[in-house]
Amino acid sequence: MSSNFPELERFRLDVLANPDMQRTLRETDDQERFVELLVSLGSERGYRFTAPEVEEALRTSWRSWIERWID
Amino acid sequence: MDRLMDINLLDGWVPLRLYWHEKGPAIDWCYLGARAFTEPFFDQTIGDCLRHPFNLLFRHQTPIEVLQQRYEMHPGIKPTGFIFHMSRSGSTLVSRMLASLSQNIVISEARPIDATLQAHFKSAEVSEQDRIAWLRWMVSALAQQRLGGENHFFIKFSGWHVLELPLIRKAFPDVPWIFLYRDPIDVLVSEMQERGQMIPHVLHQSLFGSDARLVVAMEPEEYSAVVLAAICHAALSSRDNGGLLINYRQLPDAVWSAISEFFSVRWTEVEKETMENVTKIHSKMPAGVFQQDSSRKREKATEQVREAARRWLYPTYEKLESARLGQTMRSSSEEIERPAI
Repeated sequence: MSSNFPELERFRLDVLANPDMQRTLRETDDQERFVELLVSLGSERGYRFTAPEVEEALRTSWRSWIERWID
Repeated sequence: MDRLMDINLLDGWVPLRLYWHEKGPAIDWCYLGARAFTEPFFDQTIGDCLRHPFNLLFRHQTPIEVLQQRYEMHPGIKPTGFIFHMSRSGSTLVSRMLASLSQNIVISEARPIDATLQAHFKSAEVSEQDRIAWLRWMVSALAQQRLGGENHFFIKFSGWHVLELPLIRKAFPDVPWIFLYRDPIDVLVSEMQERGQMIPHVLHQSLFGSDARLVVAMEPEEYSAVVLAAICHAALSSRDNGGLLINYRQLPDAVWSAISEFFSVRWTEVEKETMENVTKIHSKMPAGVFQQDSSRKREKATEQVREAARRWLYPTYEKLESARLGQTMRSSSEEIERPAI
C-alpha cells in the first residue's frame, strides 16, 4: 500500500511485522479511538504523523477497496 | 510487496484477492482471526471485516509464492465436499445449514477462488498446471482452523465454476462433489428478477463455447438459458467423476441424508436440529422464512421464459433427472451430447 504520508507508511510496515502491536490496534473498532491509538503508538516509537493524516489514509484505503471490489 | 516475510505472520489472515502486480501475480490478505465464515457469502464476511479500521489500513500484500509456502507449512483441513449448482437452486441454503455447525468451515463463492479459476483470462502465461497449483494453495489458505474445533471443510463454488470441474478434479481428485439443480422455469424466473452472472460479458464468453455475436442478439431470457444449459451440461458430463446430483426438491432433508452420506459425514440429532433451524430463515434474506416457492415462480413465468426453458434447458434437465434417478444403479458412463449453441 503506497501512502502520501511516508512516516505513517513506515510505521504501517513496522506494525505489519509486529503481531503484538497488531493485537493492540485491533482492540477497538471505533475509528476515532483507533486513530488516537495509532498516533499514540507511532509517537512512542518515534514516528511523526498526525490524526488527519491517518483519517485521510483510511478514506483512501476505503476508496481503493471499493474500486478493487468492483474490478 | 512483501517478498521475504516470516510466513507465520500470516496466521489468522486470509487471502481475499488475487491480482496482477507489476512483478507478477500477488495476493491481498485480510485479518480474520477467530472469526468464522458465517455470512451467506465470502464477500459478506470480508466486507464486515473491512468495517474494522485496522483491516482498512493494514493488509499484507505478497507474491503468490507465499501462498505456496503457507500451503506447505499449514495445509489446513482437507476439503470434505464441494458444492456446485445451477444457480437459484438451494445451494445457499445448503451452505448455510452446514455453516450453522461450528465444526464446519464453509466458504461460499469466494472471490479469490474465482480469480484463480479465471487467471488464464488475465494472463496468457498462466498454464493449467499453474491454475491447479494455485487452486490447491488458495483452498488450503481458506481451510485453516479459526475456532480450534473445525474438522470439516466445504466449498460452495460459484455457478459457472462447474465448467472448470475437470481442472478442479485434477487439483482435488478425491474430494466428492454435488451438483444442485432445479426446474428451469423456476431458475429463469428467479434469474430475471435479480440478475447475477447471467448478464452478457460478466462471464468470459469462451466458457460457454458461444459466439459473442450471437450472444449480443439474444434476449436476456435466452442468454441466461444458454449459460444455465452449459452449466447443467458440464455437471452431467462429469457426474461419474465423483459427483452426486441433487434436485432442489430434495432439500432440505437431503442435507442430513443423501448429501451427508455422500460426503461421509455424520451428525448428531442436536446438530441436525441446528441445521434444520436454518431452514426457518431465508438463505439470502434473514428476515424471511425458507419455503419451496416453485408454484409461485411458475405463475410469474413469461412466455419468453417458458420458450427459453423449453428450447435450451429442459432437454438437459430431463437428462439430469434421469441420471439422478439412476445414479445409484448406474454402472457405466455414457457420452453426453452437448446442445448446439
